[in-house]
Amino acid sequence: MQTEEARLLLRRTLISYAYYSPPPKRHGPAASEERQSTYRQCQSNLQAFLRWGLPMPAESGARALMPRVVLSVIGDTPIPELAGRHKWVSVKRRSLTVADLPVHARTVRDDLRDLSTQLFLGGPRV
Amino acid sequence: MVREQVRDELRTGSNATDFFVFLNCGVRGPYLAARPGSATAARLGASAWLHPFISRLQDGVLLSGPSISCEIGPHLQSYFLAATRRASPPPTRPFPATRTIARRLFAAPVPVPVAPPPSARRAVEAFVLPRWESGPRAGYLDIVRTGEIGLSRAILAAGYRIAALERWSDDFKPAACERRCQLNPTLFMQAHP
Repeated sequence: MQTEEARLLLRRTLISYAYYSPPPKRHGPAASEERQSTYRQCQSNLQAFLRWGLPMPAESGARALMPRVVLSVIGDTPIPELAGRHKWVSVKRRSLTVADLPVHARTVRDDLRDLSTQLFLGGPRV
Repeated sequence: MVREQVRDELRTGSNATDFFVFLNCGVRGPYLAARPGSATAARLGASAWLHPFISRLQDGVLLSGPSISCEIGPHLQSYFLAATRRASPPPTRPFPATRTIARRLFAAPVPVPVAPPPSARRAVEAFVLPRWESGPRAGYLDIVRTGEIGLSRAILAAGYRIAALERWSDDFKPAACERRCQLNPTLFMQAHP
């Protein structure tokens, strides 16, 4: 059984994961090989995160208590395989932007339904 | 007045979500996960890898991550960050002007490109930079400066702290970069394992 501390921590945590792995047709042949290697690595990294960071109860021996996870699928990246983790992971498609912060900011703002992300930053509510 | 309001919000935080973890698919892990089937996994479950980061979010630490780099300026890198809205005690220094870099980031609308950009760099210049008020001549490095480095800088400037898993960054203060290493210790470790 998980400790009360662990349970409390998980309930109070939101994970925002930005995922960008567009299909191959988007890119020309010249730069495609390196890019595709990067995107394949992205897919592999996501699967590793799911496997090690969000283990299924049967894999971890723990009860099914997980943090909330918002998977921001960027641009026309295909929706990844979540292997039964739909209960904890919500998928939202986001516009393409190179920087991560706008993507995460949108996720947090949607989750909190206000502009409370200002609180990280020392600025007033807008 | 604003300063007191924000301090109160940071102390009490009415929303049920206190901790935020931001990462992208450039990150591999978590390597801190408890071994499946182990007693630790049974006790802590998915929180086993979160705990080292979130447990550092106290005593004025607003942001934590795997490592701190001194390259260009002290900052957490990249890209795995844990943040909290409950940092205490309050900052030791007054808040800076409200137009902080980070405030601009979170207040700005998410860019919506009108067509798929041909490259990441051009996407930055076409869609992101104009909305970040960085000016039309800004480049990719400006994104790093304003976003990745700027977030840590804004937090440090507000009197809060950042923390990483590395032992050298315990009780980190920006001056440590000048004393110990002005570059990127993670790259150093990669080059000198």
